[in-house]
Amino acid sequence: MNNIAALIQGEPDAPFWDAWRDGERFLLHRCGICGRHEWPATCCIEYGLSAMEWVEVPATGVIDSFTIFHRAYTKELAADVPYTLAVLRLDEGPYFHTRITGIAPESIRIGMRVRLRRGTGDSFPLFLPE
Amino acid sequence: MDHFGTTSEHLGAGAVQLRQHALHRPDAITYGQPITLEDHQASPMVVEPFRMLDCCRDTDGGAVFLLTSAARAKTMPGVRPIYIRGMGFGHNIRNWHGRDVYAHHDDVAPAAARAFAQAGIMLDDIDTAQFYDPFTISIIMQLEHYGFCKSGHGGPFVADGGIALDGKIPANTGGGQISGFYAAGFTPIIEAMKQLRGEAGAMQVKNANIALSSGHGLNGGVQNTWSHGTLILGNEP
Ligand SMILES: [Zn+2]
Repeated sequence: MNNIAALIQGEPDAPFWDAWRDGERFLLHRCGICGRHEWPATCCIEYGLSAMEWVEVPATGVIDSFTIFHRAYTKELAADVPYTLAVLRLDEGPYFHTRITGIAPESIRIGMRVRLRRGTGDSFPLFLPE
Repeated sequence: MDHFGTTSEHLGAGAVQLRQHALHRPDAITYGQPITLEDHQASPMVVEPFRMLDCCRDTDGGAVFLLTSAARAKTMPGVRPIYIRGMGFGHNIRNWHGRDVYAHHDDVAPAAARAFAQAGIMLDDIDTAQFYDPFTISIIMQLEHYGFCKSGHGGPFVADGGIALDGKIPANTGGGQISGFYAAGFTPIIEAMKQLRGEAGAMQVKNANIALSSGHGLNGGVQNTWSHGTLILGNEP
């Protein structure tokens, strides 16, 4: 997915993508004062930008909503059709939008627990059922 | 749909209704091309729950309206002015930060409240509604959010003919963006103007004096999740 490279160039989220690419570490943006986690990079709505820091988290959560793509959104995904795109609610709080792998799309349910998939060279962090 | 039990057949009823509306409109992309619920159910799934016939299509075309003061509009020869009676805007960023953005769409409520207050009217005063409708679900959700039907009842409301010409609230009478033409926010505004001018032909709403026109979008916000605008238009100031 070539668009990932363009996405991270000089962007506030660059530390997230760098950590994922370099060591499959999953980071969230956290406010050091109130402890609230955020994704994507943002200011704390209470304390602003000064205390925001990138911290590694386990990357687990539940499926908040999902849909099944029967046509590929980009040609790189053509071989994966049908695939599932989900809105996750990470255990630290923020939403994270990604694909769910390792399960037939028709078996996926809202509320299902999921975890990060590692070790398969994914350019974007994908998830699978716990 | 998970919350309320809205079905693909409910979406299909909307698609069929919009085609019916566009049937007699030579400027509609689906002019003279009715569909049935069976056609809808047989059309290929694109991204669930949307089949091909739930989606609008790219349209090449143009739309224009001139905006000026009411006083000046009255002096322009050959023009039947349409008046902005009220307008309002709302966004949903609070629910993003509150982490409830997908289940709640608070952007419609403030937009509608301000627009209706400016216009000095109630929901019952609306003669026709022209909703931003890139997908069939958009109409169902807005019917609920504006209060034309109860929350979760938008699907059955449409299936029971609620947005038909003789329905409780004739809506998207030109076929909307799905069956009429997709010109972003121009589509509902132009159709509202046609209705208020009495230029809607076979789909003319009787005694159409006040119309609601909506717009929404931004960042995947097509289903009202992100921002919403309400426009109340009238053929009298
Ligand atoms: Zn904070």
